Amino acid sequence: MAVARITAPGSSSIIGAGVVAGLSAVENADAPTATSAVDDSVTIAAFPPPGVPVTVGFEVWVGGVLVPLSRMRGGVTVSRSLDRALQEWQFAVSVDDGRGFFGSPFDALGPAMGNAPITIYGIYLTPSGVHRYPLITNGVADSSHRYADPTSSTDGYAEEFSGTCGMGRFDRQVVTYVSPAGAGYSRDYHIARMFSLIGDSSTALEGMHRVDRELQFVDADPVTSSQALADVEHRKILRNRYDQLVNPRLGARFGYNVIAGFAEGDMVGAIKVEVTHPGDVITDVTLVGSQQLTKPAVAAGGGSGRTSATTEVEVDGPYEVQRAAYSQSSACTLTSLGGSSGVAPVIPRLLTITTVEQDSGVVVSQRIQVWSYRWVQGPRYTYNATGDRLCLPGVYLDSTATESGSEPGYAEPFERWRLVSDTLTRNFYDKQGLDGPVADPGAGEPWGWGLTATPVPPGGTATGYKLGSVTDVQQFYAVKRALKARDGVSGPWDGIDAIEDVLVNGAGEGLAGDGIEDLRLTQRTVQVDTADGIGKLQSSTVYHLGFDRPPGDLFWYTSTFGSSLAAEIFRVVETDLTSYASLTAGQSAVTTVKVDANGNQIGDATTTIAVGDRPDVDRIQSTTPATPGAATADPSQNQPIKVRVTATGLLLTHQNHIVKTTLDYPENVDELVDVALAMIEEGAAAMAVIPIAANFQLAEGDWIHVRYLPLEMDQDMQIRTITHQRDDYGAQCLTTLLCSIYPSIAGTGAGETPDDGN
Amino acid sequence: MSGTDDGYLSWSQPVLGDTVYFGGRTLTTFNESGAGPLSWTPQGPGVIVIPMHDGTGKIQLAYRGEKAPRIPGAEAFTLSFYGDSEDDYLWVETLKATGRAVDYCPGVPAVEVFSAQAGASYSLSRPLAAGIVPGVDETTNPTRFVLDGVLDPAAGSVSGQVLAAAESGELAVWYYPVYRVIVQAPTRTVDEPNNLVVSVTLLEVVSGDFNNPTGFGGGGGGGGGPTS
Repeated sequence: MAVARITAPGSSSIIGAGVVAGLSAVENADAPTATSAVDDSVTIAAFPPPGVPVTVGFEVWVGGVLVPLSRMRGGVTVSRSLDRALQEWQFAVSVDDGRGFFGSPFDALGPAMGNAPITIYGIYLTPSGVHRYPLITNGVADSSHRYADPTSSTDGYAEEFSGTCGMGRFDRQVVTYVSPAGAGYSRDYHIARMFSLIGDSSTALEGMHRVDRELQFVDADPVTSSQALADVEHRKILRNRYDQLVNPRLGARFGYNVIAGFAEGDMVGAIKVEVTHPGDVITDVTLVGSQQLTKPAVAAGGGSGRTSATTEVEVDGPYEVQRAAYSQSSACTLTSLGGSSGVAPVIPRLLTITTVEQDSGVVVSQRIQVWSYRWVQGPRYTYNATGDRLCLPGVYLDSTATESGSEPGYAEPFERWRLVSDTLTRNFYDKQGLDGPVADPGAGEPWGWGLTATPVPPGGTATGYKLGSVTDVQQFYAVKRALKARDGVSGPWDGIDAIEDVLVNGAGEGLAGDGIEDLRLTQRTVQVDTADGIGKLQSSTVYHLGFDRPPGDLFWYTSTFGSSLAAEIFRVVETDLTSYASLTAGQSAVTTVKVDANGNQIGDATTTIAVGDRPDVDRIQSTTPATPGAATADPSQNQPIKVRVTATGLLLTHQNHIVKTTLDYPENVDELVDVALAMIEEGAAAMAVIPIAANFQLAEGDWIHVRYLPLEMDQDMQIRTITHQRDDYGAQCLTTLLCSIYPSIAGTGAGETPDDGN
Repeated sequence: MSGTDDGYLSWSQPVLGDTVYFGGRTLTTFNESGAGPLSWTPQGPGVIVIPMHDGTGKIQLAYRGEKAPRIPGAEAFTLSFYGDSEDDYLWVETLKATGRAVDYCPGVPAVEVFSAQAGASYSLSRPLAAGIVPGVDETTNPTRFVLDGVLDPAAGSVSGQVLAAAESGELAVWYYPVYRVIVQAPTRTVDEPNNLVVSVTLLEVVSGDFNNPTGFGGGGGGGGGPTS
């Protein structure tokens, strides 16, 4: 079927009942029982000619197990809609044995099946076998209702369940997701990432537009946040019948495919066919937004596809640069230097520079550099050969200092604007050129080849999955050293002389080297992940490296801590070993064991059961990345945008209805215009109720053509809500369609007009 | 009532015999002198006809499971008998009082139709009488198969309640079953001295194993009454 444009309503060639070529039956691949091949008999079942018997019904699977039809009560309802994030279902079972088929709700503290996945199939039994069409997959129960009617010969004791689709597993979670200005990812990428952060990896989103503005969702509902993004493109965020996150588009402006046609002979006689036309339609829309300003990305090394985007955020404010109040002499006396002036001019106080490098559609590195004022500390005291503590001359002190006190000493007379923190995260992937170095076990790097790519063929085939990451944190730090050495001497701490010439800070800690702190590597976190063949996370090993003092009894840093080494060394201080296992019922087990620097387990292993399957491992996108390339952008640099769209054609038969509002997420004028057109199109759409015999091939968002001449209906329309229902066992299985009949945008006369500034 | 040779129903196999198998016993009450009228009518959903807006109709059959016949509807029997036999009278009262489904074989054949795939197995709605009812076997009351309208002995075979299809097509099974029934609403009437008449309704509970996975409850049911 060729795409039919709404600009020519009724032009579709579908004028009668029957299936349209191109509509493929959907066979369930997950049903534990064998299914038959799709054939003409299925099409006949979904679009039955008059007088041809069709065997039709429902199956419910809970936790992967079929609920026997012998335990099912007759009523089953599944309702799916573009206007709801949560799709709905209901069914009932007999309470035959006092506990119920799924157990007791008193034990489960709610619906007896707990949060086990609910899958409901629409069934056709044809000469070629059973054909199952999933209507709800991985649903979750949200209420159960038991009742007893012992005086009834047919009701007796029953338990009714109702619930939602798989979205019900995510809609009460929160997510914090931030994307810097200029990142350039598409909306579908952002939506998928938000859901992946809460453990959802089943997405089938259509491509959406690029986003350059900064996105900040903090403790946000991912469903609502995603829908806010999708609204810009007149799309809905929901889970389809296979439990995939999808983003179907509403409206006719961008074309559609009609997949089936229906006529009078397909409408169930006992139910009204209805069409409702709105009168109060929107005719004039003015929208205001803002557009992020960007500059082209700077190409970086590492490959022709690598891009680099840098964002700078500066914080200005009144600030007084701190200066020394005293200088210390070798006799420990303090000489006044005047201290700070008390004047706090408005100056830059903090600058954060974020640089993101991307390659092959993934982030390969992120560097966050923080600039601020830093007054560098140094040693204040030292010890002589007889164990006496001596004051170091020329040490600068602040206004709180006292003679021979414990206040810090500074190596320079005032603080300076300098780089105070530098955090670099490098992500490595199973691809030559994007992988990491081979570890050196001799240098205290136990992760071996964990970050290196699979050798090129014939050695193997790289998978593109993320191998892990290395995060280095540089901060100001002075390496510590022992203050005393027992060296065979026993007895109380106070009886041992301090090490000769050891440098000490104001707090009494021994300092290595010259004792002056400087920007150095203080933390390294190495994460090595393993993915299985389908990209699910199998295990994750995280090595935490930092400065450490191996325990011993030769060198003593304090009266209670002895070490085998005279000074701190940089080494692995803790390792977290986490394994992931898929469970049935849509859950996964996460087991973590922590070990210390010497390989000894810390505490007990912990196992948690998480909702959803194991997390997906990021993978290089070998095809065109979601973003055409990051750009340089400052989130504070944007320009206002405004459009006005009027539908003059509607004014011939409607009162003027003006809407003026501000929107957060459109990126540019074109998107504002699209939103305005969508508002007009949606507001003017007629709604039709189409009752047909059970048709499990149709789904929300599909386009059909309906001819019902007594109501002058002969239009293409989009299914907005589809409800499959059987009221009782042996009753009719019906499908009711609520459809939108969109007007031709050309017919409404809608068009962009120069903004009049109102 | 009689069978092949000495009655009005001259069928190829015995039907509606002098004795009735009921809940584990063979009752003689239902012979010519003791039996009253017997009738049976399909119960529950059968063919669902949906009238459409243009006056035509769509036909639906309720899906009962992969192994089910196309219309596995239950039967409801209504019958009456003279209470000449104390044992038989009390036995029927006992069956009523158990509340369970019990086997009932009035000598009535059944027909069920399957959309059969060669090599697949299906479930009859009720078991064969052969093996349950004394004196009934595949020789006296053979199961017959009609494939796409043609009698075809090789089209399938039945063991107990399980149908094994040997050929594909629309397979009709003609068989001699026991019905698993609930004894309901007995009416005892003495309209003149020494004339006790009992009327009951026997509501069949279909017992096919149409879609129950192994290890689950439900399905199959009934059968047998209290031992005497």
